[in-house]
Amino acid sequence: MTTSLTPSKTVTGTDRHGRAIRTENLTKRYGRNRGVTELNLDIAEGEFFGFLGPNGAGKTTTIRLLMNEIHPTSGRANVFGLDCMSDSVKIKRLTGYLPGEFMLYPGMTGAQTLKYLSSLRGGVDWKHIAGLAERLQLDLSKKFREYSHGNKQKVGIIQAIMHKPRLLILDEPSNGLDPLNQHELFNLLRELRNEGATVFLSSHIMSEVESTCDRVALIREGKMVKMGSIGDLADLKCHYLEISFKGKAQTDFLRSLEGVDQLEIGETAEGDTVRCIVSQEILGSVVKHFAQYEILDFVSHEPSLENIFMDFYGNGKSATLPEGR
Amino acid sequence: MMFRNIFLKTLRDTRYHILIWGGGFGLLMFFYSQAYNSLFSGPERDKLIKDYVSAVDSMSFITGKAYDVDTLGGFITVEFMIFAPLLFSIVAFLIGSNLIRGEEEKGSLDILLSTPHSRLSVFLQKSAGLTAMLLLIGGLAAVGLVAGAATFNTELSTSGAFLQMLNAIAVSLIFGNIALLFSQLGSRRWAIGWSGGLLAASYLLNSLSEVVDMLKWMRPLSPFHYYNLSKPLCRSVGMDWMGLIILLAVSIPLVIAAAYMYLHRDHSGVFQLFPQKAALVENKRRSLTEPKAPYLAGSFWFALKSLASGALIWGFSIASYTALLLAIFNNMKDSMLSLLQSDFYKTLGFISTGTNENLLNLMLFLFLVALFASYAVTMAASWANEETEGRLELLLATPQARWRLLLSRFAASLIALAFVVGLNWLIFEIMLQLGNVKLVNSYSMEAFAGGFILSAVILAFGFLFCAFKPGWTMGALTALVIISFLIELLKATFKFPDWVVDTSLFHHYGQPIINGLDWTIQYILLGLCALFVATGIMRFHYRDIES
Repeated sequence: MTTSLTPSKTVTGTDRHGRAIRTENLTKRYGRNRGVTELNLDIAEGEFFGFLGPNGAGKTTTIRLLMNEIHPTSGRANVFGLDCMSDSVKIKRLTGYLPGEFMLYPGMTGAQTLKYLSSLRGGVDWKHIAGLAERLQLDLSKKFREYSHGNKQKVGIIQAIMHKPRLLILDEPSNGLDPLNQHELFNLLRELRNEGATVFLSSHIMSEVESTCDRVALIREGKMVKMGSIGDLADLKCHYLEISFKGKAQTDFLRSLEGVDQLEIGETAEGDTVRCIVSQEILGSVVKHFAQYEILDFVSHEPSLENIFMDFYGNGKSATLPEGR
Repeated sequence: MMFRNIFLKTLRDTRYHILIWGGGFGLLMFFYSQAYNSLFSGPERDKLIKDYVSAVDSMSFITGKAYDVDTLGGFITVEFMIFAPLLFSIVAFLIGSNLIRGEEEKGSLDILLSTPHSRLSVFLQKSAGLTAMLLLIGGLAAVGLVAGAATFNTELSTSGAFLQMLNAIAVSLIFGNIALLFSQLGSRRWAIGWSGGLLAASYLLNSLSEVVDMLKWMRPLSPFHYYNLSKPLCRSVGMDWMGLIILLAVSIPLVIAAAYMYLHRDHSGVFQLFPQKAALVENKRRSLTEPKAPYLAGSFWFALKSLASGALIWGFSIASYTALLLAIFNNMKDSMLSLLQSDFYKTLGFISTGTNENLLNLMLFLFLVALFASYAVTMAASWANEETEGRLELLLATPQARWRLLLSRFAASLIALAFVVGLNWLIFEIMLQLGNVKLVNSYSMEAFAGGFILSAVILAFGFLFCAFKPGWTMGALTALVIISFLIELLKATFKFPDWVVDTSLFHHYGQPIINGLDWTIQYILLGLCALFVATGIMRFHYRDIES
């Protein structure tokens, strides 16, 4: 069974700048606890946007603000130029949403649940739902309480995309899915994006964001710490260098440079080995400096997004050197 | 300290129930002592007590036979202890149904079971927690009674007070364990519905079998029969230890059966009483068929379907009481007539004329409206569960305005309520004809309409409360309805000031089967109902949804 994922165009909502999501100084406070603080997001229509942060950073709070489940303390949020509070129902016609955690009626089957939710939306073709269930290998005849965690998640995913939304908001969607189904899920999301839909994906799993998203925002303690393309973020940080010299090398200048971290100098029978983490800005001058020496081996690799993520969130310290070869 | 083991944690989880219910009953007991002194302290004490005994004897199908009412113990036994096991049992089945299934539905039991405790150990510790919780509630009530007697210098047996509460708690323990057992067979809501129905049926069965000879053989089937054998606060009756032992013993097979079912079912699954059903489910694997049921077409029809089974259970259970009572009405009429002519009941504010309307008001409508109100509470709680159990998040992700979702649920609840009340009115009218019970005035429709309006106000208040604190709706609304009912029931006993009595919705219901409805008040109540719903919608619109 084939399923077209072309987003529905029956409901209009237009931002004159072609933005799918825009937040301005969006703030939500829970008493003395933080929620999100002055969050500014600008996501273009058709983008695949990753929203990254550790647990409790404010990802779910942001999503719940967009979905009008909670109301901002200050600031505002728009989806397709529509106000998230006053135009909430219109926005939900255009949006598919998968919460991070959800419950449904334990005594109803997957089919009944999806039929009910599709009735509340209107205009959903059952064949499309059946096609999605087949792709995700979900048995719709089981009661919700009998589903495994992963299968419950599949029901959630199907209800989020069954109406071919223009904007898909997913809160940690791969939770509970096995690798095959994770793969299928991201195939589905890519298809949706290729058909013109915008995907807003909250996650703390780097690999899935790295392989799918056009842009990423990092959030920590309710505040945005970085937003940019995947490439921007990778350039942000550093390179791992491991250089083996024939004989002694002059390494003292490295100690005086800003942007060099975790410098280790080892001695072998053939000469010195230098290992360090170097920022993007000074990489060129470091390479130039060492070019005057006889080099036996030169290894440089970019950090993965995982490392950047750890750098932002891990104790405020720089990334650690990989194990030496 | 309370996190040291599952037993203590269970007690901690129910600490507010213990404090609110135990403390509430304790305070009530304290004030009963004061009321006893004020009622029977005048110069006509002997005559009042004589009338009181005769009145209570005439109402034995509700109150049981009165003993030693010249003492505080005897008075408390008749006035409160007849209802105490019923009230304790409501708490018990609410907690019992939540004990395992509630945690499963919330998802917290997974984590608990991942700790090095066997499922049996988890089950037994939680079950012991339920028992301890009920004993503490009973203990607090007994302390209130003893303190009241001491404060007002009234003689009372301390051991009798504790034994009396133990006797009532033993009944509630049965219904708590029945709910625990039912929750192995279905959802928490299902367990609450059936346990509540069984409690009501059991109480009514015992009450009716007091006066209907052909039902006497059924008395041993009701826990209330064994409960009534003991009256430790009445010196001329005392304890029937065998009755208490039977009550306590009944809980044991219930706990064993519930434990067996829990150990032999899947986590979050249900125990299959008929294993072949499971095989049928297996054959339906990987079906992608579109469901065609009409109730899936929208939130209103869906709400109506989800309320249908409850409406049928409540409607027919209450109607069976109505039918039975009218079937035997003419047989018990004579014994009831003397009751309303006694000085004691005049003191309590009952109208003394022995008309059929007056008797029906006392024997039927007093309880019918309370039962309709209880049904309204369960429907408000069921709406609150949509949010507290986490379903609202996905429902609100669909393009449904919040007001529409709330209003369609409220409208469906009103229709379910109208069905329950309407069915009872229909049965009432049929049984009047079949039982040859004549009414001078034709106020029966008004009496049921008043019951509907009163319950609709409670339902609307429940929806309003839910818009503020959904997690507290069931407990708070139950407490409010009980307090409101007790204020009206005990207004003369306690000589409550008018402003207190005016706060009771049941007071505004009045006695419509005798006098008809005061429509001005009913319109005000309907206005209140609309105001509650409108305020609830406003609040719900602007409130954060709990996650």
